Amino acid sequence: MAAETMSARIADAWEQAWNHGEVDALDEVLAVDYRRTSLIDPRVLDREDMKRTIRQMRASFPDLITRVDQCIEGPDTLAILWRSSGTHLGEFADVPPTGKRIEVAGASFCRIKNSLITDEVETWDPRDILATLGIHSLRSARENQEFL
Amino acid sequence: MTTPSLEIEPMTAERVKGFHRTFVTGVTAVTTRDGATEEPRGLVVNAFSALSLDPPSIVVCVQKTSTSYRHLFARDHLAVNILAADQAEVASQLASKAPDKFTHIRWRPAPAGSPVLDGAAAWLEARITERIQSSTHTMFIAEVTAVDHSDRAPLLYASGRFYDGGHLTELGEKD
Repeated sequence: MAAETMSARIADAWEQAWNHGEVDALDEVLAVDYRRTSLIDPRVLDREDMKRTIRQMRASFPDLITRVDQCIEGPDTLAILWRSSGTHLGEFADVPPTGKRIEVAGASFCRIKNSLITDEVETWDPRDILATLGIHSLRSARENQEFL
Repeated sequence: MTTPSLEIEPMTAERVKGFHRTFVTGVTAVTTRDGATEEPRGLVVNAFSALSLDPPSIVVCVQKTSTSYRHLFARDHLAVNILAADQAEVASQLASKAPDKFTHIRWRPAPAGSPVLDGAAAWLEARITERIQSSTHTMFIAEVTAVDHSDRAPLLYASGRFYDGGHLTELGEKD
């Protein structure tokens, strides 16, 4: 499959999942045994966890828009530079809604096999979104939070 | 000089509470406005402290299960009212879970709208700058934007009881 096609397929799936809530679009680009890890969070998310995370994010930020700024491709790797913005209108990571706008950016580093993402490493922690609003979570507040 | 080791009994929740009961505090009413309806919201807090004088900032700790908790996220300002010695009834009303806590409480809005309770010994309004979540409580750090105080004696709280801050016995110098 051509490199451009892989980037386009991923950008389209992200658009459907993150911006329209059609999370099953991820099935087109994530392998069945997909694993998502974070550089700063030891928990591992599978494909269904990822869909649940996106649903939670969209419930917290109903107008959430995520844009892929750039994709950089290798033979079996892909780096995605992205940014998201939205309004905090629902509870998020145990934090009541503030009604404030948030904007965050990050990068994902993916391993590709048979045109599907098998592993993804995130550079950010979803809970740090609220740090931009002066809302911080101590370790004790994070221990019982699922995924976020 | 040597001292004998402490004889420490097993720690229990009751012993922790016993520790806190020995600490005498004032009683504050932390207030704000409903993010949707503008109704006054508030609760009684004794976990209040000055944080710094320059900038003038304070900290209050609020339990996440409080009915007023979510409003402290929807609004940018809060007020801290230091209750006066004759406001024990106000403290009891604000400590309840009743939806109409303010029915019998007279108040006026501070410059940013936070409720200032009539008859409070002192009050301040502050802009919330940081919200720091721990497991059961959130610490709200806020920068003072308006303040006033009176000569009314404060209400005091110790061992689960209220006391009149106007009838304290000052310790004299030892001979």
